Amino acid sequence: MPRPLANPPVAPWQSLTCRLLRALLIVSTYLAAGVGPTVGAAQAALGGAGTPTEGGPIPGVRADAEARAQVTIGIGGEVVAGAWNPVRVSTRDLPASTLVLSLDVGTLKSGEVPVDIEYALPGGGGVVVSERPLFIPPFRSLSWRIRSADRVVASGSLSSRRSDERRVLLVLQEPGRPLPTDTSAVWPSTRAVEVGPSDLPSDPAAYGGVAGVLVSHPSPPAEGLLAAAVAGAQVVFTEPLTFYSGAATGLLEGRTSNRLGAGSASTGGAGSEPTSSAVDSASLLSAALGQPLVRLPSPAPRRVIVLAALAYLVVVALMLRFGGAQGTSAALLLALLCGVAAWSYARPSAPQFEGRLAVGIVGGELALMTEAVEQATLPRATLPFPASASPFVPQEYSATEGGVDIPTAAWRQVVVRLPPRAVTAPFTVQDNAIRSRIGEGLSNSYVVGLGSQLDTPPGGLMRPVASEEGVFSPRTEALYLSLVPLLPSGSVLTTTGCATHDDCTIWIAPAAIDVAAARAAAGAVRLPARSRIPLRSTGPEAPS
Amino acid sequence: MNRFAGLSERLRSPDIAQATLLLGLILLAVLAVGWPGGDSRVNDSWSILAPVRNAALALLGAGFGAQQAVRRAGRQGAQLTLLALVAVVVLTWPLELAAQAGSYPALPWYWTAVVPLLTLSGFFGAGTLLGTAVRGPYAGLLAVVAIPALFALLVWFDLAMGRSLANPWTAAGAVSLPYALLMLAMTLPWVWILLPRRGRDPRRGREGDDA
Repeated sequence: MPRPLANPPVAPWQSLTCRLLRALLIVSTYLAAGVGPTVGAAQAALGGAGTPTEGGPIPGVRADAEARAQVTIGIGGEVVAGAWNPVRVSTRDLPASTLVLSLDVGTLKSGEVPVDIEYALPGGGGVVVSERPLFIPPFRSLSWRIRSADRVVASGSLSSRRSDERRVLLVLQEPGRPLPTDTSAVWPSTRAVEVGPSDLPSDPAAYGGVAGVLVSHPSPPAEGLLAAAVAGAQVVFTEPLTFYSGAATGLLEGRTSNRLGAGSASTGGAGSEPTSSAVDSASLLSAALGQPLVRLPSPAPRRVIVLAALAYLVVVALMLRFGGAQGTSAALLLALLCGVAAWSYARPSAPQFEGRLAVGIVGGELALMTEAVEQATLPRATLPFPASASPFVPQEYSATEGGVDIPTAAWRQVVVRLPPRAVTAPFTVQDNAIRSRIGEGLSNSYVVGLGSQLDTPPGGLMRPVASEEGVFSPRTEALYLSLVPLLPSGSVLTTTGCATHDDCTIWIAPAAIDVAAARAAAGAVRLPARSRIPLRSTGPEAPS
Repeated sequence: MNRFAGLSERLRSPDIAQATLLLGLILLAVLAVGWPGGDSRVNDSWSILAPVRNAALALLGAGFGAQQAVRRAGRQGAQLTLLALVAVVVLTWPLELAAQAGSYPALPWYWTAVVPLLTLSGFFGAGTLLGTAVRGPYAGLLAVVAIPALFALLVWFDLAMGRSLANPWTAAGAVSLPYALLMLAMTLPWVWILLPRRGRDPRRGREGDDA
């Protein structure tokens, strides 16, 4: 009968020596490669966080435990604090497991503010890659581990030194080539990171911390570049177009510069300035949130409550004093009736209120939509938000793939941002005219430098004309007052769904209209009464 | 005189009437101060009013429990006093309901309805015990000292334990099963005294009913 094989006993010193030799081998191998992110991978595999290297990119963030699981946070392993980053997990021959991320997003003043995130990872044979966007606020510490059954198969951590809010400039090129050096003038305050085609995610939400992509790889991924451009990155083809293979150059649509969503694709050298003006969708959303999306319900007037309570006490005292047994029973009955009346009068209609706002940046036939959700709670509660939501103000929360739970004190509001996504633009701008592409009309239209415009019917065409400043609904007016200063001349602002306040989207096409041409073509036109009232700067009211 | 007429008489008696009026005015003042005015929308009035009411009911319960024991009011007198105090709980409930409705606290409705009764009955029992203990010469003076001492002891006990176990102030704002159990345990003295038992003269102690 065959006997089961058993591992031969190993002395402790032998095991330790083997581990040390193995670690040295890994370090020497990766150092010989001389590529920044992989240095970080080796360090992370050894259980330590990477450290910045002189003059080169900051090492990446990867954990590799016996090649069974690998975690990469940020494109090319570069984390951008205060931005959306991709979290890519690659497992091999691993059963269903869980990725656990623990962040401390507190400050020296606030102390520890823990954020706990758990994502279920699909298991199975072969290599399984899963990727999802995650907003990473500036952090004091970040650690992760992959838990399978009752053991941890990979782990790693980042210290606060890696909480870098500078955006990255992705350099898509073949490995081994030197990074361009003449980018600092055009791309200030960015970090150049070398990436390969497989490093580029296809989800626009992953490019929140990307300022631009310099493409000098002969076979760039079209989908990844499109996602980057829609997300707001400036994609620059630095080589002659004949250098590239595949469909990536189709992003240019035959032009030297083409706006796509919130970003653009253009041709030029690594140090040449992008021809399209860039707008920061996150900044626009933050500006729009200057007005609350929900307001707490107004309480019953204090005077009414106090006078009613006083009257009740007087009546009860009189009944008890002079009413005898009948008075006592009447007073008790009155107490019950007054209790019911007080409850129905002073009780707010609901314990929680929710408001949404979306800002869509239109470029070409695509748009990048960034959304915010605000919830207000009257009792202390744990507010549920959609998956991947992230609060604007760093605070404690926990998240799974099913949703985000934020514990909230009584009578407080929480505003979260949702991952940006690419959508079909509701209108296009061609020949200085706005054409609606959806079944819903465009309302509250405004062109920076021209003034308010007439509404655009579904599928209709509207040619902007110079007009006097217009007045809108108080809420739209307040939103535009906060957005217009951030936009270049010729930018189009319009809304859909704001009539009900439930699903309001502000669409912005930056610098889409040639203001001078529009003025010359039509001259000043007097619009209906609503457009002749100056845009007020005070008195906006948010919906209740 | 039936039980309801007796309750009415007891509610009209000066001590209960003054206590009821004083409690109502205190709650009215708390409501007036705590209710939001002007542009404020945050209604936090219940978080003050409920502890005040619960603590005041505890004081009333302990005080009148001790009074009944010191004066040897007997079973019927104690029963009427306890019923009158329950009536006070009912009569002051609308004020708390208004604050609770406006504040929308994250508490189940049953707790806010039950905890004043638990507090009252528990502290009435504790007061009965205290009154029995200090019965004799200077009983009134001793009771005046013993009741605040009891409260101080319970507050200290809660602070030492770090939980809401016996403090009526904190128990109003959070569901606490230990508090409920403790109040039920403290109820036992008056249950022992007030419930009729076989072989016992039901009219025993009647001379103190008008205390």
